[in-house]
Amino acid sequence: MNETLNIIQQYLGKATYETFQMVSISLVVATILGIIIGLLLYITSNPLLLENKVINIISSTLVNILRSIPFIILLVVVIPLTKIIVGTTIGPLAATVPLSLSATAFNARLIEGAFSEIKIETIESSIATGASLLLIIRKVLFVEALPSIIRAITVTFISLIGYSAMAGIVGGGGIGDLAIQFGYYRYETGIMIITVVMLVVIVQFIQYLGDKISRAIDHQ
Amino acid sequence: MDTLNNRDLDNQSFIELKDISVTFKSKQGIEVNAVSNFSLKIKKGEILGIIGSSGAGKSTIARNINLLEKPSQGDVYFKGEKITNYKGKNLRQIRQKMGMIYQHFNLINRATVRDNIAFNLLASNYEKDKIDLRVDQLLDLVGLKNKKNSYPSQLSGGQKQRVAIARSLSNNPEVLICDEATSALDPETAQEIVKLIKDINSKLKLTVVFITHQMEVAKDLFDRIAVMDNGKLIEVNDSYSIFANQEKEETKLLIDKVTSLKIPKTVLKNNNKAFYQITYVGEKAYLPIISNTIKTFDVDISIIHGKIEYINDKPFGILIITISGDREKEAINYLKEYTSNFTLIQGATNE
Repeated sequence: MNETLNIIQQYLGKATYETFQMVSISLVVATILGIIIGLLLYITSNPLLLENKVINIISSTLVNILRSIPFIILLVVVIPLTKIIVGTTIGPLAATVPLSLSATAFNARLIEGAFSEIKIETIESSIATGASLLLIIRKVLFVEALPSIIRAITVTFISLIGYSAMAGIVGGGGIGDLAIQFGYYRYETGIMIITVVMLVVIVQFIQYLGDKISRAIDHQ
Repeated sequence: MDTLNNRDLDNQSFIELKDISVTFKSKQGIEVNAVSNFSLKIKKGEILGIIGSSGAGKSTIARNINLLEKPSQGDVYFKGEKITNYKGKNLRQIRQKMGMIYQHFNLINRATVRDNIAFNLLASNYEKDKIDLRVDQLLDLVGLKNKKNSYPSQLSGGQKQRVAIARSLSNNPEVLICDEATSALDPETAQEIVKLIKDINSKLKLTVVFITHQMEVAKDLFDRIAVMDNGKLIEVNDSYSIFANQEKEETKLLIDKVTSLKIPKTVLKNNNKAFYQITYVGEKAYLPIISNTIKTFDVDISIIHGKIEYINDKPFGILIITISGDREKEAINYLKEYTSNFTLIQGATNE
């Protein structure tokens, strides 16, 4: 019991901070890039907007490739890229590169889905007004898809927490890594329980918050 | 340039659809002709109705006018200008001169009434500070001033269509295209919308192109009617003439929905007299034909069924009658002469 408390005192704060660091940076990247790529996937596939088969196939294939590589492999594969971007290949910052990549691809598909839920008639009627594509994107696509985009980001957020547990492979640390290092390898069941409970609570909270925001802005 | 003659020509063919054909490719790869060789001139300021059963190609024609759908063949002219191949900014500017409303309103569901209308104003780069003023004006025009901050989900169908109308009028368009705009509404609400469109047409001198399969609407609203069947324009005339006298069988089928009189079968069966249907249109509608017939030929006339419709404020009457008396034949000849149409709908059953 004392041993468990000791470990918690010594490592839990640091691990929580590392998880926070990895997840928050990756989430920001995945949100921005995911929205851009998701939008691109959507408008290049929609004949009413900016249909472009070439761009659509290229971006879609890239997203599919990223999504088909198991995350644990991706962690290793992108090490050279990580070295270029972050300057190091270990630590939580280094882990944000594969995390961001994976989450961006994941998020992009969800965001694309959010846009495709918009009724085609709504888009058509906005085209009939003579509005520019940019105005339609800003005032119709984003307005109509916003609740679904919030839900997509919530799902991405939660997956990121899960993936970040694997970041221990590249010395990323974090709560998940704490569970493996102490809870699993050193038979500290107490640590295992505490970290798992922590993760469950965090995930519950994020989902609750995501649903709440999404509902609050959904006037349909 | 702007001579009287020219202007008159412009007014006669404010919008011109010239030899339009639209071909779709179905999922099985088969080519389907939605519209074939459709030509029509739309006059400035008129309310033109395009009627036809569903699948006749009416909506496709409506969408050809603002080029939401580009015709596979033929051209669209707006004020004498060929716009068929317009793209980008030119096309967007033309579209700003054409408002459009739809069967299912197609509002931005997650934007307020104000933002829905403001969208059209932003589309035309309307001065930002003046947007709210203009939105108030438009909402006033459609009678929804207190709904500015509501969301579409909080409005009834009729209110949503009013918002859609306000929105479509925001850039002072010269044309209003209505694609089945009353078809999703209950009859009373549809009447209100019809009245509103009529008001707008006279107040703003707006040309209206109205697509519908609802003959009730056609009767009340249109100055002129174009009838479509199977992708083709089969008949075009002023409303009254279309209702009073159809040239084509397909038109007759459509019009009969409103004008025909139904007599219960039992009444027809149990009567030993012949039934005649009389229609009288125009000036003849005001003549005391029935009473003249009775007086002159000393016959009995019973009216079995009848109604008078007013189309563009002109009467159009139908009666179903039976005649008995010694001079029945003469009476019939007289009626044939003085009514627009006199037909035997059923001979006497006991003869």
